[in-house]
Amino acid sequence: MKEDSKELAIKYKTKKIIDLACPVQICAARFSPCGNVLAAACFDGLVRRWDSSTNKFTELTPINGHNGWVQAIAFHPTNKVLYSADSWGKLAASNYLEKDVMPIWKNDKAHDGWIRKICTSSDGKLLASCGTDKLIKVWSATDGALVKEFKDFSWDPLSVAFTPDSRAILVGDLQGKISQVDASTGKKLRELDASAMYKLDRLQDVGGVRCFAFDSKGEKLACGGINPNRGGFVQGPSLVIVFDWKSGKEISRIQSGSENDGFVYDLLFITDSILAGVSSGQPGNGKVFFNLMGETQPFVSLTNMPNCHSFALHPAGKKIAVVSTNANNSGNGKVLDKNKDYAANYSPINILEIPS
Amino acid sequence: MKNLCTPHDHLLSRREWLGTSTLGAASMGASGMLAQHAIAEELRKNDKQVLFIWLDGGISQLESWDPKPNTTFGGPFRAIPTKVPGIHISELLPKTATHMDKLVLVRSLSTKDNSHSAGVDRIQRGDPKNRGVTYPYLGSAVSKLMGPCSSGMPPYVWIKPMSGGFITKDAGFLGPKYGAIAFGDGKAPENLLRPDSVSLDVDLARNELREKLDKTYRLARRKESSEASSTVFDMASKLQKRIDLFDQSKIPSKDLERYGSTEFGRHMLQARRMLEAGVRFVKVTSYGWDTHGDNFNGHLSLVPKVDMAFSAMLEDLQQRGMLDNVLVILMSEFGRTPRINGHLGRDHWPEAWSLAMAGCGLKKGLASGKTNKLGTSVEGDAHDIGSMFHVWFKALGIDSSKIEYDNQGQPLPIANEECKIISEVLA
Repeated sequence: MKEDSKELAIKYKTKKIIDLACPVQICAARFSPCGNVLAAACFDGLVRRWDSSTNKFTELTPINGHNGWVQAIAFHPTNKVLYSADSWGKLAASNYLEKDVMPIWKNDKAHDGWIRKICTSSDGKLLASCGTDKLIKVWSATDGALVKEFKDFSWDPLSVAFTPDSRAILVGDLQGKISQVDASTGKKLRELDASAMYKLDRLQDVGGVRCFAFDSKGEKLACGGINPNRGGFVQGPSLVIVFDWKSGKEISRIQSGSENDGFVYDLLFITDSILAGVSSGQPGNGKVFFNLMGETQPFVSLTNMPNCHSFALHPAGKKIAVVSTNANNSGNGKVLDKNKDYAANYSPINILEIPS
Repeated sequence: MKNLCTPHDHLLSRREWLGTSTLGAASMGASGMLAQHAIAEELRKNDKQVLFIWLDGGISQLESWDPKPNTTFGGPFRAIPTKVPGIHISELLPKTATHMDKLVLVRSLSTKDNSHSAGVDRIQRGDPKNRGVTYPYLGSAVSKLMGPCSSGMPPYVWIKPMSGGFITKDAGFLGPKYGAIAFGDGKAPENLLRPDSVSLDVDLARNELREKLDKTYRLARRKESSEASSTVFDMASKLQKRIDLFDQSKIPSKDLERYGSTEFGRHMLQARRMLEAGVRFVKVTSYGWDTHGDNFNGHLSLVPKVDMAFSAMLEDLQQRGMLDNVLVILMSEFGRTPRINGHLGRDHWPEAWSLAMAGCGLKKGLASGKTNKLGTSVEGDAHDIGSMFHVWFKALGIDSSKIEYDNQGQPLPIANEECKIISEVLA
C-alpha cells in the first residue's frame, strides 16, 4: 500500500456516532443540502426523516402517500424540496422541513410501474426519472410538469443522472450500457461501455449499472454494479468503473476480491481523488469502501455492517450515513425470531464520523 | 456369445416362485386383476395429454400468482386485474392475465421439503408414503398408466436446456422403460438418423439381428432388463419418421415472435409441436429460478419471458381445439419466502405457495385456496403435492382411488392416499 493510502486509512478511520433504528428495509438515504434532515426511502411506502442538525438524530414525522417501495429520493440543490419516487410509478415533491408534510406537487402515474432512480439538475430547474416502463422523463422541478420524455427499446434503465452542465442525462441500463442523451432533444450523444456489469445467465439478465457519481470538476464519472458470475443467487465481485468524462474512455476499474460481495449500490466522490461507496451481496456480506483513484483496492473497507444499500455524505463532509441490513437476515422456510414471530428484516442506519 | 447376465437375473420373482399369473395386475384376486386390466386398456384409448412446465429453483408466488402488494412482504410490484373479476395476479404476467378465464390457480400448497436436492424429487414423484420403493415422476407415471397416444410417439419427452438423453431415474420402480427421452435444447437426439455410410438394407439387417438377440436374451431374464433397451430403439424409430418435428426452419416467424426468441420460448414452441404430434407427456424445464439474491430484478427479467410463451401456448392450444384435451401445469418445487433477505432476495418457501393449471378435466377461471394477508401461511385447507397428483390423475380420467400400481406383485397407490383430492378445481 502506498504511503498516502496508509495516511488516508488513518484519516478516514470512521467512528460510530449513533445507530438509527428503522423497522423496515430502506432503499436509499440522503442528507439535505442544508444538513438538517436525513431522509430515507423505505419499503413500506414511507419517507422517514430525522433531524440531523445535532447528533441526536431525533426522528420526525414520516412523509406518507406512496405505495409499494419508495425507491428513490433526491433533494433540490437549494430549495427546501425533497423529491420521492415509488415502485408503483408515483413521483412527489415535498417541503422536507415541514412538521406534517403535504406534497407541493405529485403525479400518481409519472411512470407505469417501478421508478428506479431520480436526480435533479445542478441548477435546480429539472428533475429526471427512469422506470421499468423504459422511459426517461424530465420534469419541471418547480411544478412537476412534464418537459420531455425519451424512450429507447434497447434499454432497461436502472440509473439516471444529469451531467454536470445539466445539458445531458446519463442513463445506465441493465445490459451495462451508459447512454448520454441530450436533455432537450433526446438525441443520443454517445455510449460508454460498462458491459462488464452484465451477463445473460440461462434465461436471466443479471447485473446492470446501478449508480453513478461525478467528481466535483465533472472530469471523472464513476459507475457501480457487479461483475456477475451467475444469476439466481446472483454472485459476483463488486465492480466500479471510472471513465474520463471528456474522452469517454475507461481509466480505472475497481473490482473486489470475493464473488459474495455483490452489487455496488451507492457511490460518491468524497474528494476528487477519493471515491466512497457501499456494496451488498450474499446475505451477511457487504462493505463500506473508500478508494483512492488509481488504486485497485480500497484503503478503508468496513465489513461490520452487513448488506449495505445506501451511503449518504453530510454536506459538511464530517458525517456519513450507511444503510445496512440486520444480521441473520436470510434463511429457508419459516425462520422465527425469539418472540416466535415471522418478522421482516430491517435497515439500521449507521451514522459515522469522519474524524479529520 | 458371452453370457452377460448377472446373479440378479437368476433370482425368481415373487410371482414365479408362487406360480401366479404374469398378467400385470394388482393382487386383488382374479376379478380384481381383470378389472384393473380392463381399466388400463380403457386408459390407453384415452388420448389426453399433459404439458408440464417446470420452473426449476422456485418461482416466487408473491411475484406471480399470489401477490400481496403494499404489505410488509409485498415487494415493489403491483397486482393487476385479470380477465376474471376478483382474481388479481402480479403485474409481471400481463399477457397471462388475459387468459385467466382458462386457468385454475391453486394458492394453498404447503409441502414439506425446502431443499432443491430432495424437494424436486419429492414434488415430481408426488411425495408418497415411504414404502421402500422409489416412486416414478409424474411423466413416467402417466407414461405407464396411459401408455403412448394413438400416434405411437414416445409417451414421455422432456425438453430441456443443455444435454439430452434417456433419463431412466424418472421411472423409479416402474422400470427404466418408462423414463423420459430428453431433447437437449429441444434438438433431436444425436445420431438419430441413419448415417450415409450405412445403407438401408444393412440397417434393416442389423435391427433384425438385434431383435433376434434381444428375444433370446429376454427368454432367460426378467423383462425389465431388456425392455428399456428395446424401447429406446422403438422410440428412435418413431422419431426418425418425425424428424420434421426438429426442423426449426418449419416454424413460422410469427410464432417465434409470439413465444419469444429466448431459450424458454423456443422450448415451449418445440413442446407445442410435440403435443401436436401426439406425445402423451411433454415436460419443459427452465433453470435458474432460485432467486436468493436480487429477486425482484430477477423476476422482472424471468417472469415476462414465461408470460410471453405461456400465454402464446394457451392461445394456440385453444385455437387448435386441444386445450380440452391437454392438462397444462406450471409450477416449481416450492415458492419463495415472504421475508426479503439482505441481498434483496427471497429464500425457499414450501409453507404457502402456488401453481397454475389449465386444460382437460379442470374448471376454468378459478383461484382455489388462499393465503393470509401477508402470505405467511395458508388460510383454510392446505394441500400437499399428493393432493395435486390426485387432481391431475382425475383430470386425465384416472381414478386414483381405484387404480393401483403393480410393483411385481406389490400393490401401490398411485398418489399419496393420505392426501385429499381438491374437488373444487375439477370440472
